[in-house]
Amino acid sequence: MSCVMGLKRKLGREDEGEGVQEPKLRAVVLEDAEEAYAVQRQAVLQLSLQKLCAQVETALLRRVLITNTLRHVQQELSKQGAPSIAPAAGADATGVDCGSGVEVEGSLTPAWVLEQDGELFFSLQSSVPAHSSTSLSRAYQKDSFSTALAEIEDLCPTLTSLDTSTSMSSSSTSSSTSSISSLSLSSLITQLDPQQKQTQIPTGLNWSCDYATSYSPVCLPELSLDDFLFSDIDNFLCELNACSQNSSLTLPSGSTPSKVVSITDDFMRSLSGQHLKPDLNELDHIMEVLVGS
Amino acid sequence: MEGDGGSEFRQWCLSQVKGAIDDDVTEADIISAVEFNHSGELLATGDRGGRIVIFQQEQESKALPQSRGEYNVYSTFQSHEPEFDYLKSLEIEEKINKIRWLPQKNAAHFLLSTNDKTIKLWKISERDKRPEGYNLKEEDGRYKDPTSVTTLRVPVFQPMDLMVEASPRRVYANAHTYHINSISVNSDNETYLSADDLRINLWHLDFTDRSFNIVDIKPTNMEELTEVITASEFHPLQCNTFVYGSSKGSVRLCDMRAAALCDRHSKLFEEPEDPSARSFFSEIISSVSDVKFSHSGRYMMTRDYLTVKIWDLNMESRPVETYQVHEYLRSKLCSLYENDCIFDKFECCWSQDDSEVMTGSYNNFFRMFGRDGQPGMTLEASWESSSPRCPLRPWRVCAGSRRNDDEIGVDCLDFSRKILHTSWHPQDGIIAMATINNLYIFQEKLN
Repeated sequence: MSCVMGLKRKLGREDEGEGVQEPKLRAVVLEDAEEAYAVQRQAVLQLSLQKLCAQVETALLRRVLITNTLRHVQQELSKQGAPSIAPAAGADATGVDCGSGVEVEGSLTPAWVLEQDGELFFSLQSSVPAHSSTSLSRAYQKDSFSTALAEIEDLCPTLTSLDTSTSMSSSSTSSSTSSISSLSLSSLITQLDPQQKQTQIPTGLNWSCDYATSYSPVCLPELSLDDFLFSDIDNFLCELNACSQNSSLTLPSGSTPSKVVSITDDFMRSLSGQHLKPDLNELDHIMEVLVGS
Repeated sequence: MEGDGGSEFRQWCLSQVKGAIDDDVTEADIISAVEFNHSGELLATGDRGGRIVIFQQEQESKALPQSRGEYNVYSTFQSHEPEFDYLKSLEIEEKINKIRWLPQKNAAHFLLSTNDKTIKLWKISERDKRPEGYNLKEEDGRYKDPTSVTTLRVPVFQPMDLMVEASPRRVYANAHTYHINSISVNSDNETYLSADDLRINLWHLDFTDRSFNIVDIKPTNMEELTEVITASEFHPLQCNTFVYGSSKGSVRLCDMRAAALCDRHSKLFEEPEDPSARSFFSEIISSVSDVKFSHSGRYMMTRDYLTVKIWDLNMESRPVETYQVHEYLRSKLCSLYENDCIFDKFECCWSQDDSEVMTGSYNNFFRMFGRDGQPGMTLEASWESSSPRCPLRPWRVCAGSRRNDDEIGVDCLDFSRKILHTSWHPQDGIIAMATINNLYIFQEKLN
């Protein structure tokens, strides 16, 4: 598992920063360390969600610890999100720091998306106000969340009642990639209008933060449904209740652990992001066209 | 290490291995509790099947004055059965979480055993005589015809084969909403505490229909829950004092004289976090898995995932000694989080004279620390590579995947083989520990 610091850096980064040699090296080393950190953070986030979803009867101690870990990761991501609201000068030219585009509410961003954001941030920085770039990366978070959700859905077959009208219920990672591209495009177009409220984005994903921060390991029934703004969440929550109370669970308990393992492996493979390079360039091109840089 | 005076470290020899020696382990046979009684004559083990097996030490034989007696099976009984909570549709496991012996007051032995929800007081007594010569009954139990009785006689006790009986004397039920993780008998020998994730209750041994709640950390809004109770113990000498450890790495000492509800601690033992060592898993690895007072009552030991800490009860700010159990795992925390090993709860124990402490690790290793600041010794519980009366050779754990006679790489460690439950004889150099389904007994080599 590549949770160790010092990942090999990817080939694509060599064309960045054509300036002086030394600062480039320093920036590159910093990138690696921060990228590795972000990868690990994302892994921890995903693992925590998977565990909370899969472990139905587990000890309260374990659930509290996992929830606290999740909360910690969320807080870290939201802290990184704050500087991006300020003028773009605050952000330094590191790809991963564009996890700074991550905002409180939609912070489930796999590393490959952060990498994506990095590319886009560079192209946007000079020409687009910070607000839009934030919105842009916000759009990507939402979309990347669908990938995470898809993976979790594979894990918990009962949790498939999420509203499919937003085309987010695709179950395979590869197909969701292309749907993400198209989805992000449409969201992007909506978002470039600064007056658009964030709620226009398919917000079946807002539960991610609320879920993590208000998740009550023992007494899910005590969760107030007022926390969630949209009725299409309610079905999901009901399924989640069923999950935790184990009253009408249809998951075969024996198969769950192996699913967790296979999902994790798949997830780790997807983190390498190598198969997404063509999409990266495509999106880059689309962004340039739209922004008119 | 002969002639070392206090000796740098003791030498340990494998004395006995109990349990099946094969790789096919049934879930029910996995040992979940190990505890010596107050004299050390009896050793109790509990397993996931709800059974308790008690071993008794042989009287020391004159032929081998150097070695202490062996432990043989004394009694086996089913302590807890699986139950079903119909209200919550949850199964209550019969797994024995803890066993605690009561100090012996008469010929019988008493112990408390608990699963997730119910505590039971068991009386273990011997019967080696039986009455014979009843007037109205035959020897096989059939009733005599009263008209055939012509004389009367007094029944007398005749010796019989030793029979050990275990009978449940008390059942303390329905007092815990959450899972019981600890029980501890008070030094007054009349009361004991039971702790679950959010509450600690005080019981009188004689009364099963009532208990007093002495600690309650349940928040009014469960969504605000961030900390749970993980372990609790009474002070060995002061009947008003007890401690409980939390999932956030703090230990609170409470005095029952201060208030009926001890939500406000008298002392808080917490080491400030080292900011340079902060990671995503800092909180999880700081969770206290076990807390044990020293025999003297002056010190307290806590076990978290990577360390053993010794605290002076008079100093709350930081421990007086810290020992790294398996620091080489710090870089592997992410993997250990993934396979759930990071949640393993290891126990720890003091030596009979409080000069050493011992705790378990992975790969069936266990660690001995001499309380002299030394890094400690790593020994292995393995029947294959140990022979009786032969001192155990210490291991070293190195980076990578090397494997020699006395060195093993981190990548070769078997995380499915772990020693969670350990107990030290209260008066002697004998230690007992449980691997997955075997009980290992080691004796200190006498010089």
